[in-house]
Amino acid sequence: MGEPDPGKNILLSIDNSENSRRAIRYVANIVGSSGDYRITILNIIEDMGEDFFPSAAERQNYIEKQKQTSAALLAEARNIMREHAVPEECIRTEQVTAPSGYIAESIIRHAQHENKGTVVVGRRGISKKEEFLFGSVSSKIVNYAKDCTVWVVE
Amino acid sequence: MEINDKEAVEAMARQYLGEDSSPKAFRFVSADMDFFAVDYNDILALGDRYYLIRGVETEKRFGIEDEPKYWVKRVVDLRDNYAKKIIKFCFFEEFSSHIGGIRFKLARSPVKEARILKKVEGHPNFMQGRTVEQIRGNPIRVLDFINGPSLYEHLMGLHMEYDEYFHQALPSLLDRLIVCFRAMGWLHDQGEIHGDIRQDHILIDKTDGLFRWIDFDYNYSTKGSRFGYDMFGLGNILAAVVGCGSCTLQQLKAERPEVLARLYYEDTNIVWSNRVVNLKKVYPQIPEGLNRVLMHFSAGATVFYETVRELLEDLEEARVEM
Repeated sequence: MGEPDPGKNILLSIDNSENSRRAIRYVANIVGSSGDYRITILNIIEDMGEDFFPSAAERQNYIEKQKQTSAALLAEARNIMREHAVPEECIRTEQVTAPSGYIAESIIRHAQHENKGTVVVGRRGISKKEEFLFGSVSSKIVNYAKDCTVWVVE
Repeated sequence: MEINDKEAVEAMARQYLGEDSSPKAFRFVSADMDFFAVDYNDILALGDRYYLIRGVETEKRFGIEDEPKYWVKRVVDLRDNYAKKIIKFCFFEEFSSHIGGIRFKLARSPVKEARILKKVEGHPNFMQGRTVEQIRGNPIRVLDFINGPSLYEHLMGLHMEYDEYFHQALPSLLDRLIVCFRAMGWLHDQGEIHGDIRQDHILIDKTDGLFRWIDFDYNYSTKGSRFGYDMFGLGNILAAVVGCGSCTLQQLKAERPEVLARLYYEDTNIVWSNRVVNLKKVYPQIPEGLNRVLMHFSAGATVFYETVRELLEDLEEARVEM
């Protein structure tokens, strides 16, 4: 398969939220069976670091469990794509681990590295004070992503 | 331990306490003991030192009775001329907390504090200390005692009219606070957060007047912004310093109802809606530039400071204009 138009080279970043599932269905609806698109479905595994665990073994155990949850999420996303007749060869799934607080940066870096022309994320719709305290992944992507289109699905 | 050593250490403890205040026999304890069981006048053997336990540190909560922190002991070093130290035993806990109705994960991590202690070694705006690794890799921290009040205690003890405070105390406090905030920016640049930024986690060292950050064992989990919660803490401290203590709606209702009548929701803190950040409405002496910095932490803010550098750019400019 040749390289698609950058706008049709999509990075779809998902998590375990209902808005994220809406984003998957939204992309699947647009892409359909045309075969012109390349979609990377990405799930970021948050590594909270050594400070959150009494031992290295418990941290590793936590990450392994997160990887399993992530794999299930990605499989579910692939199924949704399949239900919308998106060709299997147009879809790739990927897990990436990122430190706590750097999820948006990791998504942006991934998009740049893979020359993605479109980045799609769901939005939780958090309050202003929550955004102030703990940040918003989707707002950060909108503010800081370069050379791409960002779709935020609510 | 050789018996001669033990006797010599006991003699040093007796000399420090005086014969009348000394127990008949001292109990020697080790740091892998349950910290609840380590008691007043015990002698703790740790690394190559012996420490006489003098008490337990307390968590000072605003308006609430102090809460003992049994894992943090006040001690004197019997082999260093009775130098006062703080010893933090290994105490890990992970829990869920909430602020302004928002839940988040917190951890109290001795590993984090030990790691930061190494990074801040020699930095004048952070508490200093060393880590003694115990069995199973648990880091016990031995901290230099800082002689001086917390920023909270200092502000509460001033008892000045605001105008006097504004002209006589605020400029020097702001200057030292800016240096202290710069240190926090430096810590962030090292990839670390403080985790629990509050007025009582800055001590004002009586020897040199410097502000020093203490207690950086907390970490919090956040997906979107690594430094947001720390920035919130800095905003609260700045508002307390500019206002000579936190300014609450309750205070205004009791003492200055005419000011309360002029306030809107947008004038209050974005998270704590009972605290006023538009302090110029309360104290007209406050310059516009300084108040604008405070307003970034208000419920009416549309732009937030994401980094200490951004905050300092405005704050330093406002200070020059004062």
